[in-house]
Amino acid sequence: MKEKIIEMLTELRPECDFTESVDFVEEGMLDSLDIVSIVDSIEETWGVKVPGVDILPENFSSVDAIINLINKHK
Amino acid sequence: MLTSFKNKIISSVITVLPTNEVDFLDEMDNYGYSEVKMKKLKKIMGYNTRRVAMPKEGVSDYAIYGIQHLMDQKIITADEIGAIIVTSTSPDYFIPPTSNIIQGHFGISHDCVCIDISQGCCGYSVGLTYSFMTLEHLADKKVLLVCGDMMTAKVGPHDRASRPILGDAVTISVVENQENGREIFCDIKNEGEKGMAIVIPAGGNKMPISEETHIETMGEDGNMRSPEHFFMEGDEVFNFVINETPLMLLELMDKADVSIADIDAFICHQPNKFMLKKLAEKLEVDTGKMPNDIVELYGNSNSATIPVTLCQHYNELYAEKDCLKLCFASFGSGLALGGIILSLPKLQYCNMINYPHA
Repeated sequence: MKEKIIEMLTELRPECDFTESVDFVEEGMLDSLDIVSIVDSIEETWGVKVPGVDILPENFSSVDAIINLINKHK
Repeated sequence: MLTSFKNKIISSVITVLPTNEVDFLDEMDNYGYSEVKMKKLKKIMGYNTRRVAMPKEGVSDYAIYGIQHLMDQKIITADEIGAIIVTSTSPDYFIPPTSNIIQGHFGISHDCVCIDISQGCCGYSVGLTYSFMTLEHLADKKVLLVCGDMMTAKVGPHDRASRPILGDAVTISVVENQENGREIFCDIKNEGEKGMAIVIPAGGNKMPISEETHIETMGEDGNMRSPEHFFMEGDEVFNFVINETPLMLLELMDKADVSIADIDAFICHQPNKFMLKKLAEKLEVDTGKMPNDIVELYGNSNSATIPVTLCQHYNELYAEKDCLKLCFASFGSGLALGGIILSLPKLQYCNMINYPHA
Protein backbone atom coordinates (compact mmCIF):
# COMPACT_ATOMS: atom_id res chain seq x y z
CA MET A 1 0.00 0.00 0.00
CA LYS A 2 2.84 2.40 0.89
CA GLU A 3 4.51 2.06 -2.50
CA LYS A 4 1.20 2.53 -4.28
CA ILE A 5 0.49 5.72 -2.34
CA ILE A 6 3.96 7.16 -3.05
CA GLU A 7 3.46 6.30 -6.73
CA MET A 8 0.07 8.06 -6.65
CA LEU A 9 1.52 11.18 -5.00
CA THR A 10 4.51 11.32 -7.37
CA GLU A 11 2.24 11.07 -10.40
CA LEU A 12 0.27 14.00 -9.01
CA ARG A 13 3.33 16.10 -8.14
CA PRO A 14 6.40 14.73 -9.96
CA GLU A 15 8.46 17.71 -8.81
CA CYS A 16 8.13 16.75 -5.12
CA ASP A 17 9.99 14.13 -3.04
CA PHE A 18 7.40 12.46 -0.84
CA THR A 19 9.95 10.23 0.88
CA GLU A 20 11.68 13.16 2.59
CA SER A 21 8.88 15.46 3.74
CA VAL A 22 7.52 15.71 7.29
CA ASP A 23 4.17 17.30 6.39
CA PHE A 24 3.01 17.34 2.77
CA VAL A 25 0.34 20.02 3.32
CA GLU A 26 2.26 22.35 5.64
CA GLU A 27 5.24 22.26 3.29
CA GLY A 28 3.06 23.20 0.34
CA MET A 29 3.56 19.96 -1.56
CA LEU A 30 -0.17 19.24 -1.69
CA ASP A 31 -2.95 21.77 -2.15
CA SER A 32 -6.72 21.31 -1.79
CA LEU A 33 -7.15 20.21 -5.42
CA ASP A 34 -4.43 17.59 -4.90
CA ILE A 35 -6.31 16.30 -1.86
CA VAL A 36 -9.47 16.00 -3.96
CA SER A 37 -7.51 13.99 -6.56
CA ILE A 38 -6.05 11.75 -3.85
CA VAL A 39 -9.50 11.06 -2.39
CA ASP A 40 -10.75 10.07 -5.84
CA SER A 41 -7.75 7.78 -6.39
CA ILE A 42 -8.13 6.18 -2.95
CA GLU A 43 -11.80 5.48 -3.59
CA GLU A 44 -11.10 3.99 -7.02
CA THR A 45 -8.06 1.95 -6.01
CA TRP A 46 -9.18 0.54 -2.67
CA GLY A 47 -12.97 0.65 -3.10
CA VAL A 48 -13.53 2.74 0.02
CA LYS A 49 -15.66 5.84 0.55
CA VAL A 50 -13.83 8.72 2.21
CA PRO A 51 -16.48 10.75 4.07
CA GLY A 52 -16.36 14.51 3.71
CA VAL A 53 -15.72 14.98 7.44
CA ASP A 54 -12.39 13.14 7.06
CA ILE A 55 -11.18 15.30 4.18
CA LEU A 56 -8.90 17.29 6.47
CA PRO A 57 -5.30 18.41 5.79
CA GLU A 58 -3.95 16.31 8.68
CA ASN A 59 -5.25 13.12 7.05
CA PHE A 60 -3.09 13.79 3.98
CA SER A 61 0.02 15.13 5.71
CA SER A 62 2.08 11.94 5.31
CA VAL A 63 2.00 8.50 3.72
CA ASP A 64 1.19 6.99 7.13
CA ALA A 65 -1.72 9.42 7.59
CA ILE A 66 -3.14 8.40 4.21
CA ILE A 67 -2.71 4.71 5.05
CA ASN A 68 -4.56 5.26 8.35
CA LEU A 69 -7.35 7.02 6.48
CA ILE A 70 -7.76 4.13 4.04
CA ASN A 71 -7.70 1.50 6.79
CA LYS A 72 -10.27 3.45 8.82
CA HIS A 73 -12.80 3.10 6.04
CA LYS A 74 -12.07 -0.35 4.71
CA MET B 1 -34.18 31.93 11.51
CA LEU B 2 -36.43 28.89 11.36
CA THR B 3 -39.95 29.74 10.26
CA SER B 4 -42.83 28.84 7.99
CA PHE B 5 -45.25 30.57 5.65
CA LYS B 6 -48.67 29.69 4.35
CA ASN B 7 -50.51 30.42 1.14
CA LYS B 8 -47.50 31.30 -1.00
CA ILE B 9 -46.34 29.74 -4.25
CA ILE B 10 -43.61 29.90 -6.89
CA SER B 11 -45.68 30.03 -10.08
CA SER B 12 -43.02 30.43 -12.82
CA VAL B 13 -39.25 30.27 -13.19
CA ILE B 14 -37.06 31.32 -16.11
CA THR B 15 -33.29 31.07 -16.56
CA VAL B 16 -31.37 33.45 -18.80
CA LEU B 17 -27.94 32.16 -19.80
CA PRO B 18 -25.13 33.80 -21.77
CA THR B 19 -25.00 32.35 -25.25
CA ASN B 20 -21.20 32.54 -25.02
CA GLU B 21 -19.77 29.19 -23.92
CA VAL B 22 -16.22 28.50 -22.77
CA ASP B 23 -14.74 25.01 -22.88
CA PHE B 24 -12.36 23.95 -20.10
CA LEU B 25 -10.12 22.13 -22.60
CA ASP B 26 -9.44 25.46 -24.35
CA GLU B 27 -8.33 27.07 -21.07
CA MET B 28 -6.36 24.22 -19.53
CA ASP B 29 -3.01 25.78 -20.38
CA ASN B 30 -3.82 28.80 -18.17
CA TYR B 31 -3.53 26.83 -14.98
CA GLY B 32 0.01 25.47 -14.84
CA TYR B 33 -0.95 21.88 -14.00
CA SER B 34 -0.03 18.88 -16.13
CA GLU B 35 -2.55 17.72 -18.72
CA VAL B 36 -2.98 14.42 -16.84
CA LYS B 37 -3.82 16.24 -13.63
CA MET B 38 -6.17 18.69 -15.32
CA LYS B 39 -8.12 15.89 -17.00
CA LYS B 40 -8.43 14.09 -13.68
CA LEU B 41 -9.75 17.24 -12.02
CA LYS B 42 -12.12 17.75 -14.95
CA LYS B 43 -13.77 14.45 -14.09
CA ILE B 44 -13.80 14.95 -10.32
CA MET B 45 -14.76 18.62 -10.06
CA GLY B 46 -17.02 18.83 -13.12
CA TYR B 47 -14.87 21.16 -15.20
CA ASN B 48 -16.46 21.13 -18.63
CA THR B 49 -18.32 23.98 -20.31
CA ARG B 50 -19.50 27.16 -18.67
CA ARG B 51 -21.53 30.13 -19.84
CA VAL B 52 -19.71 33.44 -19.61
CA ALA B 53 -21.26 36.88 -20.00
CA MET B 54 -19.63 39.39 -22.32
CA PRO B 55 -17.87 42.45 -20.85
CA LYS B 56 -20.16 45.17 -19.48
CA GLU B 57 -23.20 42.91 -19.45
CA GLY B 58 -25.00 43.22 -16.10
CA VAL B 59 -27.56 41.35 -14.07
CA SER B 60 -30.21 43.94 -15.02
CA ASP B 61 -29.67 43.28 -18.75
CA TYR B 62 -30.40 39.59 -18.34
CA ALA B 63 -33.22 40.18 -15.87
CA ILE B 64 -34.94 42.66 -18.19
CA TYR B 65 -34.58 40.24 -21.10
CA GLY B 66 -36.08 37.42 -19.03
CA ILE B 67 -38.91 39.52 -17.59
CA GLN B 68 -39.79 40.81 -21.08
CA HIS B 69 -39.93 37.18 -22.21
CA LEU B 70 -42.35 36.40 -19.36
CA MET B 71 -44.49 39.37 -20.37
CA ASP B 72 -44.43 38.30 -24.03
CA GLN B 73 -45.60 34.84 -22.93
CA LYS B 74 -48.44 36.53 -20.97
CA ILE B 75 -47.10 35.10 -17.69
CA ILE B 76 -46.98 38.46 -15.95
CA THR B 77 -47.83 42.13 -16.56
CA ALA B 78 -46.15 45.23 -15.14
CA ASP B 79 -49.31 46.06 -13.19
CA GLU B 80 -49.14 42.77 -11.29
CA ILE B 81 -45.67 43.40 -9.88
CA GLY B 82 -45.64 44.58 -6.26
CA ALA B 83 -41.98 43.92 -5.47
CA ILE B 84 -38.68 43.26 -7.20
CA ILE B 85 -36.09 41.47 -5.07
CA VAL B 86 -32.60 40.98 -6.51
CA THR B 87 -30.07 38.66 -4.84
CA SER B 88 -26.60 39.02 -6.30
CA THR B 89 -22.99 39.74 -5.44
CA SER B 90 -22.41 41.43 -8.80
CA PRO B 91 -24.61 44.53 -8.89
CA ASP B 92 -24.72 46.70 -11.99
CA TYR B 93 -23.59 49.68 -9.87
CA PHE B 94 -23.00 50.51 -6.21
CA ILE B 95 -25.85 52.99 -6.69
CA PRO B 96 -28.64 52.72 -7.85
CA PRO B 97 -29.84 49.26 -6.79
CA THR B 98 -30.29 46.78 -9.65
CA SER B 99 -33.94 46.28 -8.60
CA ASN B 100 -34.60 49.99 -9.21
CA ILE B 101 -33.05 49.78 -12.67
CA ILE B 102 -35.41 46.93 -13.52
CA GLN B 103 -38.42 48.77 -12.08
CA GLY B 104 -37.58 51.92 -14.03
CA HIS B 105 -37.14 50.04 -17.30
CA PHE B 106 -40.65 48.58 -17.22
CA GLY B 107 -42.35 51.66 -15.76
CA ILE B 108 -43.64 49.62 -12.84
CA SER B 109 -45.69 51.45 -10.20
CA HIS B 110 -43.84 53.79 -7.85
CA ASP B 111 -45.42 51.78 -5.02
CA CYS B 112 -43.32 48.81 -6.01
CA VAL B 113 -40.89 47.56 -3.34
CA CYS B 114 -37.32 47.37 -4.68
CA ILE B 115 -34.73 45.46 -2.64
CA ASP B 116 -31.19 44.39 -3.52
CA ILE B 117 -29.74 41.71 -1.26
CA SER B 118 -26.00 41.12 -1.36
CA GLN B 119 -25.98 37.36 -1.20
CA GLY B 120 -24.29 34.76 -3.37
CA CYS B 121 -24.54 31.02 -2.89
CA CYS B 122 -27.58 31.29 -0.59
CA GLY B 123 -29.24 33.89 -2.78
CA TYR B 124 -32.23 31.78 -3.76
CA SER B 125 -33.06 30.56 -0.25
CA VAL B 126 -32.62 34.04 1.23
CA GLY B 127 -34.41 35.73 -1.67
CA LEU B 128 -37.39 33.36 -1.48
CA THR B 129 -37.67 33.88 2.28
CA TYR B 130 -37.73 37.65 1.76
CA SER B 131 -40.24 37.18 -1.07
CA PHE B 132 -42.59 35.26 1.23
CA MET B 133 -42.23 37.92 3.93
CA THR B 134 -42.91 40.73 1.45
CA LEU B 135 -45.96 38.94 0.04
CA GLU B 136 -47.61 39.26 3.46
CA HIS B 137 -48.14 42.91 2.54
CA LEU B 138 -48.85 42.70 -1.19
CA ALA B 139 -52.37 41.21 -1.38
CA ASP B 140 -52.79 40.13 -5.02
CA LYS B 141 -49.56 41.68 -6.28
CA LYS B 142 -46.59 39.45 -7.13
CA VAL B 143 -42.89 39.37 -6.37
CA LEU B 144 -40.29 39.07 -9.10
CA LEU B 145 -37.30 37.36 -7.47
CA VAL B 146 -34.19 37.93 -9.57
CA CYS B 147 -31.28 35.71 -8.58
CA GLY B 148 -28.15 35.99 -10.66
CA ASP B 149 -24.46 36.67 -10.81
CA MET B 150 -21.73 37.64 -13.24
CA MET B 151 -18.80 36.35 -11.19
CA THR B 152 -16.67 35.27 -14.15
CA ALA B 153 -15.57 38.89 -14.50
CA LYS B 154 -14.26 38.78 -10.93
CA VAL B 155 -12.06 35.68 -11.03
CA GLY B 156 -8.36 35.62 -11.84
CA PRO B 157 -7.54 34.22 -15.30
CA HIS B 158 -4.98 31.81 -13.79
CA ASP B 159 -6.96 30.80 -10.72
CA ARG B 160 -7.27 27.05 -11.19
CA ALA B 161 -9.36 26.64 -8.02
CA SER B 162 -12.18 28.97 -9.08
CA ARG B 163 -12.04 29.95 -12.74
CA PRO B 164 -12.86 26.54 -14.24
CA ILE B 165 -16.09 26.20 -12.22
CA LEU B 166 -17.62 29.67 -12.33
CA GLY B 167 -20.32 30.62 -14.81
CA ASP B 168 -22.87 33.43 -15.21
CA ALA B 169 -26.66 33.26 -15.21
CA VAL B 170 -29.71 35.21 -14.11
CA THR B 171 -33.01 33.67 -13.10
CA ILE B 172 -36.43 35.18 -12.50
CA SER B 173 -39.00 33.50 -10.27
CA VAL B 174 -42.58 34.73 -9.99
CA VAL B 175 -43.68 34.35 -6.37
CA GLU B 176 -47.22 35.06 -5.31
CA ASN B 177 -49.91 34.59 -2.70
CA GLN B 178 -52.21 31.63 -3.19
CA GLU B 179 -55.29 30.67 -1.19
CA ASN B 180 -55.17 27.28 0.46
CA GLY B 181 -51.47 26.93 -0.33
CA ARG B 182 -49.47 24.36 1.61
CA GLU B 183 -47.07 25.36 4.35
CA ILE B 184 -43.52 26.31 3.32
CA PHE B 185 -40.64 25.87 5.78
CA CYS B 186 -37.54 28.07 5.72
CA ASP B 187 -34.27 28.02 7.66
CA ILE B 188 -31.56 30.66 7.28
CA LYS B 189 -28.34 30.57 9.28
CA ASN B 190 -25.29 32.80 9.31
CA GLU B 191 -21.75 32.29 10.60
CA GLY B 192 -20.29 35.73 9.95
CA GLU B 193 -17.19 34.94 12.00
CA LYS B 194 -16.14 32.79 9.02
CA GLY B 195 -17.25 35.37 6.48
CA MET B 196 -13.83 36.22 5.09
CA ALA B 197 -13.43 32.61 3.87
CA ILE B 198 -15.16 33.76 0.66
CA VAL B 199 -14.14 37.26 -0.31
CA ILE B 200 -13.35 39.79 -3.01
CA PRO B 201 -11.05 42.05 -0.97
CA ALA B 202 -10.88 45.17 -3.17
CA GLY B 203 -13.53 47.44 -4.61
CA GLY B 204 -15.37 48.53 -1.49
CA ASN B 205 -14.47 51.10 1.15
CA LYS B 206 -12.16 48.77 3.10
CA MET B 207 -9.83 48.47 0.08
CA PRO B 208 -10.57 50.95 -2.71
CA ILE B 209 -9.42 50.18 -6.24
CA SER B 210 -5.86 51.43 -6.89
CA GLU B 211 -2.81 50.64 -9.01
CA GLU B 212 -1.78 48.17 -6.30
CA THR B 213 -5.06 46.26 -6.28
CA HIS B 214 -4.66 45.47 -10.00
CA ILE B 215 -1.45 43.51 -9.34
CA GLU B 216 -1.70 39.72 -9.36
CA THR B 217 0.49 37.81 -6.90
CA MET B 218 0.95 34.16 -5.98
CA GLY B 219 -1.24 33.22 -3.04
CA GLU B 220 -0.48 30.67 -0.35
CA ASP B 221 -2.67 28.24 -2.25
CA GLY B 222 -0.40 28.48 -5.31
CA ASN B 223 -2.91 30.50 -7.34
CA MET B 224 -2.30 33.85 -9.03
CA ARG B 225 -4.83 36.53 -8.25
CA SER B 226 -5.17 40.19 -7.36
CA PRO B 227 -7.18 41.71 -4.49
CA GLU B 228 -9.85 42.52 -7.08
CA HIS B 229 -10.40 38.82 -7.69
CA PHE B 230 -12.63 36.28 -5.98
CA PHE B 231 -10.91 34.16 -3.33
CA MET B 232 -12.16 31.19 -1.33
CA GLU B 233 -10.49 29.27 1.50
CA GLY B 234 -11.35 25.88 0.03
CA ASP B 235 -10.71 23.77 3.14
CA GLU B 236 -12.71 25.99 5.48
CA VAL B 237 -15.67 26.28 3.13
CA PHE B 238 -15.71 22.56 2.41
CA ASN B 239 -15.70 21.72 6.12
CA PHE B 240 -18.45 24.28 6.74
CA VAL B 241 -20.65 22.77 4.03
CA ILE B 242 -20.09 19.16 5.04
CA ASN B 243 -20.55 19.74 8.77
CA GLU B 244 -23.17 22.49 9.00
CA THR B 245 -25.49 21.85 6.05
CA PRO B 246 -26.73 18.46 7.33
CA LEU B 247 -27.44 19.98 10.75
CA MET B 248 -29.47 22.79 9.21
CA LEU B 249 -31.40 20.38 7.00
CA LEU B 250 -32.16 18.05 9.91
CA GLU B 251 -33.54 21.01 11.87
CA LEU B 252 -35.61 22.08 8.86
CA MET B 253 -36.96 18.58 8.19
CA ASP B 254 -37.89 18.25 11.85
CA LYS B 255 -39.86 21.53 11.65
CA ALA B 256 -41.55 20.33 8.47
CA ASP B 257 -42.15 16.90 10.01
CA VAL B 258 -40.62 15.11 7.03
CA SER B 259 -37.81 12.63 6.56
CA ILE B 260 -35.26 12.37 3.74
CA ALA B 261 -37.40 9.61 2.22
CA ASP B 262 -40.36 12.02 1.98
CA ILE B 263 -38.41 14.48 -0.17
CA ASP B 264 -38.80 13.88 -3.91
CA ALA B 265 -35.68 15.87 -4.83
CA PHE B 266 -32.96 17.94 -3.20
CA ILE B 267 -32.28 20.94 -5.40
CA CYS B 268 -29.00 22.28 -4.06
CA HIS B 269 -26.64 25.10 -4.79
CA GLN B 270 -24.03 23.71 -7.22
CA PRO B 271 -20.52 24.64 -5.98
CA ASN B 272 -18.64 21.85 -7.77
CA LYS B 273 -19.29 18.21 -8.51
CA PHE B 274 -17.04 16.84 -5.75
CA MET B 275 -18.49 18.90 -2.89
CA LEU B 276 -22.06 18.04 -3.80
CA LYS B 277 -21.21 14.33 -4.12
CA LYS B 278 -19.73 14.33 -0.62
CA LEU B 279 -22.74 16.21 0.75
CA ALA B 280 -25.10 13.62 -0.76
CA GLU B 281 -23.02 10.86 0.85
CA LYS B 282 -23.15 12.62 4.23
CA LEU B 283 -26.92 13.03 4.01
CA GLU B 284 -27.29 9.48 2.67
CA VAL B 285 -29.33 10.84 -0.21
CA ASP B 286 -29.45 8.82 -3.40
CA THR B 287 -27.60 10.75 -6.10
CA GLY B 288 -30.66 10.32 -8.32
CA LYS B 289 -32.53 12.61 -5.93
CA MET B 290 -29.85 15.32 -5.93
CA PRO B 291 -29.02 16.65 -9.42
CA ASN B 292 -25.31 17.43 -9.65
CA ASP B 293 -24.55 18.43 -13.24
CA ILE B 294 -24.99 22.18 -13.47
CA VAL B 295 -21.28 22.99 -13.02
CA GLU B 296 -20.46 20.70 -15.96
CA LEU B 297 -23.16 22.21 -18.16
CA TYR B 298 -23.13 25.91 -17.34
CA GLY B 299 -20.78 26.58 -14.42
CA ASN B 300 -21.49 27.66 -10.86
CA SER B 301 -23.57 30.82 -11.22
CA ASN B 302 -23.73 31.52 -7.50
CA SER B 303 -27.20 32.75 -6.46
CA ALA B 304 -28.79 31.37 -9.63
CA THR B 305 -27.80 27.71 -9.35
CA ILE B 306 -30.92 26.41 -7.59
CA PRO B 307 -33.41 27.81 -10.13
CA VAL B 308 -31.03 26.86 -12.96
CA THR B 309 -31.08 23.28 -11.64
CA LEU B 310 -34.86 23.33 -11.36
CA CYS B 311 -35.23 24.59 -14.94
CA GLN B 312 -32.67 22.13 -16.32
CA HIS B 313 -34.34 19.10 -14.68
CA TYR B 314 -37.95 20.30 -14.68
CA ASN B 315 -39.34 17.87 -17.25
CA GLU B 316 -37.81 14.76 -15.69
CA LEU B 317 -38.71 15.89 -12.16
CA TYR B 318 -42.39 16.33 -13.04
CA ALA B 319 -42.60 13.37 -15.45
CA GLU B 320 -44.75 11.30 -13.12
CA LYS B 321 -46.12 13.67 -10.49
CA ASP B 322 -47.97 16.96 -10.65
CA CYS B 323 -46.74 18.12 -7.27
CA LEU B 324 -43.34 17.46 -5.68
CA LYS B 325 -42.02 17.76 -2.14
CA LEU B 326 -38.78 19.65 -2.76
CA CYS B 327 -35.92 20.73 -0.55
CA PHE B 328 -33.82 23.68 -1.71
CA ALA B 329 -30.46 23.74 0.09
CA SER B 330 -27.80 26.39 -0.24
CA PHE B 331 -24.50 27.14 1.49
CA GLY B 332 -21.64 29.52 0.93
CA SER B 333 -20.75 33.18 1.09
CA GLY B 334 -21.38 34.86 4.45
CA LEU B 335 -20.79 32.11 5.48
CA ALA B 336 -24.48 31.31 5.29
CA LEU B 337 -26.85 28.38 4.98
CA GLY B 338 -30.34 28.40 3.57
CA GLY B 339 -32.95 25.66 3.39
CA ILE B 340 -36.52 25.58 2.12
CA ILE B 341 -38.96 22.68 2.10
CA LEU B 342 -42.11 23.11 0.05
CA SER B 343 -44.69 21.23 -1.95
CA LEU B 344 -44.34 22.69 -5.43
CA PRO B 345 -46.99 21.96 -8.07
CA LYS B 346 -46.15 22.06 -11.76
CA LEU B 347 -45.14 25.56 -12.75
CA GLN B 348 -47.25 27.74 -14.99
CA TYR B 349 -44.08 28.42 -16.98
CA CYS B 350 -40.51 27.11 -16.80
CA ASN B 351 -37.89 27.71 -19.45
CA MET B 352 -34.22 28.36 -20.18
CA ILE B 353 -33.33 30.99 -22.77
CA ASN B 354 -30.05 32.40 -24.12
CA TYR B 355 -29.18 36.08 -23.89
CA PRO B 356 -28.46 37.57 -27.32
CA HIS B 357 -25.11 39.32 -26.94
CA ALA B 358 -24.69 42.55 -28.87
